[in-house]
Amino acid sequence: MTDAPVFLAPTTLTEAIRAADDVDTVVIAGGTAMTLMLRERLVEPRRLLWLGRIDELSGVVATEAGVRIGATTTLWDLANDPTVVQRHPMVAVAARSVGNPRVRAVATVGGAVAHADPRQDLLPALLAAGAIVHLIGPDGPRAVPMADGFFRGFLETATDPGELVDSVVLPDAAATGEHYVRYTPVSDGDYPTVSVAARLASDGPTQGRLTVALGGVASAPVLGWTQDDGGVGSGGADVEAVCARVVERIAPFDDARGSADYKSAMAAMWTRRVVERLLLEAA
Amino acid sequence: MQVTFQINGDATTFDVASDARLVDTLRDAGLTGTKEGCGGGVCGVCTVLVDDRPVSACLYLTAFADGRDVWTVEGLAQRFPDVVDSFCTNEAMQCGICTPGHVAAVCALRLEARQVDDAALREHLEGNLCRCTGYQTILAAAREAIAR
Repeated sequence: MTDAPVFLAPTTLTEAIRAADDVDTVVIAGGTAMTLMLRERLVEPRRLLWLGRIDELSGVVATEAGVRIGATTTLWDLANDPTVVQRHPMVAVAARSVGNPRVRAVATVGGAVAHADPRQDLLPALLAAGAIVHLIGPDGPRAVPMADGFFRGFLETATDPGELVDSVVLPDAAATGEHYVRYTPVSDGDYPTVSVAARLASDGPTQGRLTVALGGVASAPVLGWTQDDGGVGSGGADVEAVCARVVERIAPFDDARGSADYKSAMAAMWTRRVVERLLLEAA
Repeated sequence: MQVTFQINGDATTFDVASDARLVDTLRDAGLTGTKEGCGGGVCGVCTVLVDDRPVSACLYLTAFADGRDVWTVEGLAQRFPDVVDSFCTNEAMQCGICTPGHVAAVCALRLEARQVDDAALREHLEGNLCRCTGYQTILAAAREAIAR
C-alpha cells in the first residue's frame, strides 16, 4: 500500500503544462479509465494532474481548420454537438456507442486519445475522419496527424512525457458517406470485438477515395485502407481487394472477445458490409 | 485532502484520499442506498447525480465532486416521492439491488424536464442492468414517472 497521490487541479493550461513536467505524474480528465487503473494499482503515480477545472480545454468550435474538439469535451457533448452530428456523423455515432450515458457524461475525447485503448469506439472514427491531434508541452504546441504515427502501440502514443492533449481537429472534407459500425457478441455496453469506421468521397466519374480504420484488431487502432491504396469502386479496387488489404494490416490477438482468426474474419465481414453500403449510397 | 460539495442539498466536507471513489465516500458516510456492483461503470447500481447528470460513482473520484451538487437515492426519494411510488405500484423490482440506480436515473430525466420518447428512455436507461424483472415493469414505472 502506497500513499495516495498528490492531487493537482489547475484552472489554466499554463499551470497544467508546468505541473505536467514531472515523470511521476498521471494526467486524468474524466477518469473513467484511470480510476480503474488506479484501483487495480496498474499505475501508482506520485501525483494526479486533473484537467477537469480548465475551461479553455473544453468545448467544440468550428474553425477555418475544421472542427476543433477541446480535450476535456465529454463524449456526451461530442455525440450531441450539432456541428459534429452534421459534419462528422461517423464520429458522433462512435461517441454515442461508448458504454452508457453515465460513462459518456464524464469520459473525455482527450482522455480517449491519450489513453489509446485499441478497443475504444471513438479512435477508429477519428482516425478515418483524418483527425489532427494538437499537443501542448513545455516546448510549445505541435500537431500530429492521427494517421501519421500517433498510435505507437498498446496504450502508447506519440505524446512525449510532459505533453498534454490540447484538442483534436477534424478537417473539413467532403464525403459522400461515412459510417461507424461495431460488433460485439457480448452486451451492447461492452467494448467491440471489431469496429470499423469508413468514409468515402466520390465525385461522379472518378473512383471513390476510401478511408477505413478499425478498432479491436491490433494493439492500436489501425488504418486498413487509405486513399494512397487507390480508388475504390467501378474501375478501381473492388470490395474484396479492400477486405484483403484490411486483413493484411490488422494484427488481432486471442482474448475473451474471440480468437485472432475469428476477429480477422469479422474484420473482413464488417469492412465488406460497410464499404458495400458506402458504394451503394454513392451510386 | 478536503473535498466540499452539496450532498442531497447540504454542504458537506469530506476528508478523503485523492484517489478515493465517490461510491466509497458516500457509503462510508452512511449513504448506503448507493450500491457497488461491477465496479467498472457497466451495471448502474452506483448511479448518483452530479450537477443533475447521472454518473457511475464507482468511476468518479470524490475529488472531482468538489464544489458540485451531488444527489443520492436517499435525497432523490425525498425530492421525488412519486418516482418511488411509480416503482412500487408497477412492481418494478424483485431483489432490489438495481432499484436505487434506476430511481436515480429516472429522477435525472425529471430534473432535465426533457420530453423523451420510448427510444430515448431506453437509451437513457441502457446502462442500468436488472437481472430479475425483464425490464418491462421498470420501463412502465419510468414512463409513468416522467409523465407526471
